[in-house]
Amino acid sequence: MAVDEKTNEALDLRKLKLPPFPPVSKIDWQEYEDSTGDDALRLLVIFAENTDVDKITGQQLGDLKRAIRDSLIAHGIEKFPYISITTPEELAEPIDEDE
Amino acid sequence: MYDDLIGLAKTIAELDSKKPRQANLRRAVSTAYYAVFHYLVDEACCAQIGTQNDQKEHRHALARAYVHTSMKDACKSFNGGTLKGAIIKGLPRDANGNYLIPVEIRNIAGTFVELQEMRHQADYDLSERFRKAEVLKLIEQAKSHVEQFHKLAVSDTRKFFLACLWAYKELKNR
Repeated sequence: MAVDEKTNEALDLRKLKLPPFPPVSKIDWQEYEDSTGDDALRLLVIFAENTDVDKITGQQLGDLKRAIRDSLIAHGIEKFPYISITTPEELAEPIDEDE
Repeated sequence: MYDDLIGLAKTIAELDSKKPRQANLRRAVSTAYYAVFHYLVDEACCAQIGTQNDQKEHRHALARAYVHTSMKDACKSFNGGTLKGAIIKGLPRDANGNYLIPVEIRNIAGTFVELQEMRHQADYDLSERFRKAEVLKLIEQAKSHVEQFHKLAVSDTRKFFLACLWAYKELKNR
């Protein structure tokens, strides 16, 4: 199986065993080279609409990332996944610019 | 040091109530990274030297030996839950031949790698933009993983992880 295919399968929300909260609607990913030159993945986890990010605890966020990382490892993906989070509402807004 | 730095990271991230300045969010990320970096180095030095107050000069001297990139290499491996054969040669394994790493170690290792990359982006890459909500959640995640690791009972695996933060580069090439 090609690496892209394995990654898609590892991140397939229908199969991925994620904690019930925060609810995830989509995971986007791309290949990435990190600051020390290692091949890696860059993931963007998009929560479901109207998810109150303030209510997500550090432990819940850590558990979510652990589930995603373990799924990648189980599918033989050894690249480290750098995981960012956002909401559909945030994506629709321009990022706060001040500079 | 850790408590002060992680508290400072949160304070900086929350400085702007409405429109967060990127400079503040960048400093918050960087400060959170150094909080976890100093926590791990201090834990590792305590394991090596001892925890008594009159031993702190030796701990502080040893702390200067820790290298960010080597620590990241070690943490990447521990986060993955599987260590290379050269690292675990001769160590006890389970029935499947795996060297088991507690999730508390895997989590703090993963958070360290993640924070180090974000610190690099925060300090050097102006094309990266940071969102306040995510920065605050990352700080909470770091606190949670440090607390979990801190509660983890002292074991050979815990001590081995801390030793690898210093010795990993040499061990993996044996």
